[in-house]
Amino acid sequence: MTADDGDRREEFLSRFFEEGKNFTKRLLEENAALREAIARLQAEVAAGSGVGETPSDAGEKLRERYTRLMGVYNELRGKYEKLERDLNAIKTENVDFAQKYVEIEDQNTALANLYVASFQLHSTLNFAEVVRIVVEIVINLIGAEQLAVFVFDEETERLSCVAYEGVGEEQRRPVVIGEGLTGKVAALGESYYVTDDAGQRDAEAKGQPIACIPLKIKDRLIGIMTVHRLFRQKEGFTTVDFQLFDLLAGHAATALYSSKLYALSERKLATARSFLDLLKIKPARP
Amino acid sequence: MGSAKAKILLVDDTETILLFLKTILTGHRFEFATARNGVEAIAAARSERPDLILLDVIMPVMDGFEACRVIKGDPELKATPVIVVTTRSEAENMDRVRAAGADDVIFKPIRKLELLDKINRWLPRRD
Repeated sequence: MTADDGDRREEFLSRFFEEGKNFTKRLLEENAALREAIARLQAEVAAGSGVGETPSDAGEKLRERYTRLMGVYNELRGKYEKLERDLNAIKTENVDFAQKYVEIEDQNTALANLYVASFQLHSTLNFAEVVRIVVEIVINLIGAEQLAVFVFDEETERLSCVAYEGVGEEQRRPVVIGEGLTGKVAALGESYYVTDDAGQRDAEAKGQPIACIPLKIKDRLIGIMTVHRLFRQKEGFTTVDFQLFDLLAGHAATALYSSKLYALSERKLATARSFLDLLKIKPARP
Repeated sequence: MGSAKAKILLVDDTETILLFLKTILTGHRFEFATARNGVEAIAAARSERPDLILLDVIMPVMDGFEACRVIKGDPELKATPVIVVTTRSEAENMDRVRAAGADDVIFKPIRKLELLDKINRWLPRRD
C-alpha cells in the first residue's frame, strides 16, 4: 500500500462519516417535525372534544351528533312529505271545486236562458212580435243558423210558415199533417232531434231538419218549429238547448195562441163598436 | 275598501239579447247602459263614457262594424274596450271585426263564464 492509497482511504472514510452525519441529522430533524405534528393534532383533538378526551371519545361524540342530526332530518322530511300530501289533496279539491263552479255557472246560464225566453214570450200579445221573439230565442240562445216556424191553420189543416231564417223555399213549403218528416212529427206530437254530427250532415244534405219541435197546448197542435243547421261555432245540441226546446214547445204555443185570440177578440170588439155606433145614429126625420 | 261598479254599454237591436246579457251579468258589480243600433251606440258611448262596450254587428240604421270604427276613431273613446258579439265565426267576418278595430269577439250563443272572462280581461282595474 502506497501513500496515495492511504490518502484515498482517508478521503473515503472522511466522506463516508460526513454523509452519515448529514443523514443522521436529517433523520433527527424529521423526527422532531413528526413529534411536533403529533403534538399539534393532539392539541386540536383536545380542543374539540374536551380536555383530556381520547380520539375514541371524540369519535363517539361525532357519531352521537350525526345520529341526532339524522333524527332531525327524518322528522323534517316526514313533515315535508305530509305537507306535500296535504297540498296535493287541496289541489285535487280545488279542481273539484272549479269543475263544480263551472257546472253551477252553466246551470245559471241555462236558468237565465229559460227566464229570458219565458219573459219575452209572454211580454206581448202581438202575433208578429211573438213569432219574432221565437226566432230570436232560437237564433241567439240556441245558436240555430237555419230555422223555420210554422203555425197550424185550422181552415186548411196545414202548417204554414210564418217566419224563417236561412232556409230555402223547399223547407218553407206548407206541411200536411202526417206527410214528410215534419208532418209526421206534427202528427205524433213528439219532438225529434238528430244529435250526432254524421246524422246532421246527412239530414242537411237531404234538406231535412235536425230538430223538429211541435208547439202544443196539451194535445192541441198550434204549430211546429224546425231547425236545419246550427252555427259553425256551435258544437251540437246541449242539455240547455233541449230544455229551451221543451219550454218553447209549451210557452211559444201558448203565446202564439193567445196572440191570435187577442187579435180575433180585438177585431170582434172593433166590429161590435162599429155596430153600436151605427145604432146610436138617429135616422133623419122626413 | 269598496269596488266601484264598471259601466258596460250593451248594444243590440234584440231585446231578448239585451235582457239575457243583463240577467247573466247581474251580481258581478256592473251597471248597464243600452243602445239599439250603431248611431245610438256612438251617442251613448259619448254621453255615458262606459268602461267597456259589448257590440252586436247586425243592426238597423248603422251596423256594429261602422259604429266600432267611429268609436275607435274618436280620440276620447278609442281607449274604451269593444267586444264584438256575433253569430258568424267565418274568417271573412273575423277580418271585418279586426278591420273595425274591435278589441275582442264573442260568439253567440253566449256562455256566461266565457263572457265574464273576456270582460274582466279588458276592464280596467277597479279601485
